[in-house]
Amino acid sequence: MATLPQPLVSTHPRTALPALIASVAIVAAAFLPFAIGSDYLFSAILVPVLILSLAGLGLNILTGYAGQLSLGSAAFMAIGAFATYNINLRLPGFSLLLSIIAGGVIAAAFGVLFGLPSLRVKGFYLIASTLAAQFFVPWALSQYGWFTNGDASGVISAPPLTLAGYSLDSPAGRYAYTLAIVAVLTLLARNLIHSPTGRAWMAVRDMDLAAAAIGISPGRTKLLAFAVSSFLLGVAGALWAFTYLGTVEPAGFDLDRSFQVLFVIIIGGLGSIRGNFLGAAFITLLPIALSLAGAAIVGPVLDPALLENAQKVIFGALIIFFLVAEPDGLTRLLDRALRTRSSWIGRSKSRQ
Amino acid sequence: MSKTRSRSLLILTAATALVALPGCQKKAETQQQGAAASTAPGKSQYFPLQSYRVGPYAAGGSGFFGGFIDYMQLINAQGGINGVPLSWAECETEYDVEKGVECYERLKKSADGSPTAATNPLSVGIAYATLDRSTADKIPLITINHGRTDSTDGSVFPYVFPLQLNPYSEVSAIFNYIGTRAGGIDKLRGKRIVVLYHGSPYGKETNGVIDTLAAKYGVTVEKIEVPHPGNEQQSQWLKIKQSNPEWVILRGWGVMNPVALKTARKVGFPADHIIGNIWSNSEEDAAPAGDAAKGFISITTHPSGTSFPILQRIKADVIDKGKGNLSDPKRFGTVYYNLGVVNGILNVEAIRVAQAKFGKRPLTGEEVRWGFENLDIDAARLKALGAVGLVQPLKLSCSDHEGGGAVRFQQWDGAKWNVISDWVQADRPLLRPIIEASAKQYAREKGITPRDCSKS
Repeated sequence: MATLPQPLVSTHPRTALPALIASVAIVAAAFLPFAIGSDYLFSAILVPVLILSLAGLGLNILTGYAGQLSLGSAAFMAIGAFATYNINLRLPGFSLLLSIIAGGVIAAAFGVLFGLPSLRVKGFYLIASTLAAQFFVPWALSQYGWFTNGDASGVISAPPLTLAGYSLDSPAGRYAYTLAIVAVLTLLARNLIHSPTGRAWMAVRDMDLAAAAIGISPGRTKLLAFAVSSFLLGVAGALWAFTYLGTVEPAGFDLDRSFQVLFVIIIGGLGSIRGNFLGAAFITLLPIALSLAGAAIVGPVLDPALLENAQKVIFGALIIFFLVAEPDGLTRLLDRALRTRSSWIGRSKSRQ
Repeated sequence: MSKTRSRSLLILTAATALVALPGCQKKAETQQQGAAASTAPGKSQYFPLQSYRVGPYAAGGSGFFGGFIDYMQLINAQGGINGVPLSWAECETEYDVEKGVECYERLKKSADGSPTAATNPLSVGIAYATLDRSTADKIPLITINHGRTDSTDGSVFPYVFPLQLNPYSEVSAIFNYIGTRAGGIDKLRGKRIVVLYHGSPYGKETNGVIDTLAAKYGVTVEKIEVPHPGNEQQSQWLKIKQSNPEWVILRGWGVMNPVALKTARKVGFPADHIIGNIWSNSEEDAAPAGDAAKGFISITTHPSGTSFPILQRIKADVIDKGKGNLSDPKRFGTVYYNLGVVNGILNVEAIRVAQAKFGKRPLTGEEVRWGFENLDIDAARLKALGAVGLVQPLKLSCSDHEGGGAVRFQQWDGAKWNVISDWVQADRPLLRPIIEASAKQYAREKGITPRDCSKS
């Protein structure tokens, strides 16, 4: 009984193909946009998609892998953003990159704090306790002027983005910076998920009594999940403030943002790394595509307000449609498509 | 699930991606409207419009952008600015910062290559988020009657223009008016005032200066926040009732305003001792509160009404020809609509000033910026524009990007606004050092070297 039951680890029959696709995707992400990119592509599409993916990954570790429900994602993003700002501002010697990491660590500490109720409560009750974090954190940040360095309107403004003396203050530079951080953290998270720690998370998720029976401490495992999750969310929040918007206010991390991150993982796929990227892309691109399509097709004839409301209806309907059609998210859809494709390849090979 | 079904789903996903990707590439797919159709490409002056017509602030957005677009249509009907027609494209922001940034990036360059004049987001949050981008892209950022107060100091913020009235001037003018009502500003000592503000950057912008003014005039001020969007204010008004102030300054926005008036009625606070600020002053703020709004006072820089000659011209050349932008024509001449017209006038006048220097052609944002900075609208020009009483005389400079700083007070009689005061001037010399100090701090944090305004 010392080893974990096998089905907990999702072993893919063909590990070569996804690995190939992943490496192609990383290379493409690193080079393709610079060849064809515009300011719009970088700063309005790619950067927010990457950051939302990272936030999704954070929540997915907590919810998808460790089974702890949370509606406090935006609160941890806010802690990361404001901690990064204040560390960078007040502590000499902390470059922006170091500040972002330190901001993530502080967010992780608060994650453990707000995760303490998970030792006693589960499910909906845990949602209520993370919801408390969601309401408390933005309130505290806007209540005390110290967090925003006494700014009149409570909005913090990002310092110029530099790395080791080089200025990255262009749309492409901000994208490169974001991509590098998101790629490294995703890789680390992936390794963690495939390590004994990750298997312990999944064991607790599937049945915490059974996990305890085989020697896993559920409390420590849950809190570790809260810490790692909040660290990733905190870094995502800092990136949201510093490489995407350039400014940030506490109200920018409200409950709506938590729901957005939750939708990313639900649409993308719970318990999946790739799903976060698919979900984030979906939730960012679909409204834009709808708005462009709407304007191009019926723009001149229809009342603009009516058109906007129609887009919202279509967006909602599409989300429901996708969830009904594939409750396991876009990642499962892609998985099935890839498997079908590789079986075709296999068949044609066998014929030769 | 069968394979065919999953494949059809996949096709749908692929289709979505296909729709999205070209959109990312050709950023200005959104229809460019106005003169673009009839003019050679690149020969018009282009305005990207980050408008909002849905959500809790739709009344403000649709009125403002309706007035702005109708004024541009009037200019085009009259042959453009010295022969240069105007064009524009719209993108919905829902007053949401992320969407506003996306819209800024999507629209900042026109589809046909016409140069961009200025952006007018009408949202403090979006203005803050696009401030650095505007400066880097050399496109003026116009925040009429709102925005970041210290951007009044043009030496640190060359591309930002809080035209007419910045938030500090607004508060100062209200204090001066309350002083007049009390029989002199020195009579304010010992009085109690409550500021009920919207929980957003816009709402908080004045909190610091209110403390300064309160200390100067010896007023006790209590500041109470209403979280966005503000459709529930029971506890806030109970608190106000308890502290029983002389005046309540309502620093609201959108749906928060009528709810405030209704809740005030419920707890028994008199409407004629509530003073609405510049974003609590429209028909859409008062009318939905019904009887509870009767007697409500607010400030304005742009009275409502359709009798101004310029509005009559818009009516004749745009509205009556069925080209008006408002979906509800009854809103013609309301406060938000008229603010849009005022905004149109100021943008067009800036282009006129710049054209006099750089030539009668579509101008770059950099050149239009010069036009804004040298804007000088005097009484004679207002008369020529047909906007006497609608716009205040305005003179901008390198160090002063606001220009006016005066407001009039109006009172709601249950059906319409009646102007009840002449122009009340803010104490701008008192505010100036605060603004400069704040701008200096900003310059330090961002590593900006301020321009020397004595040289230009």
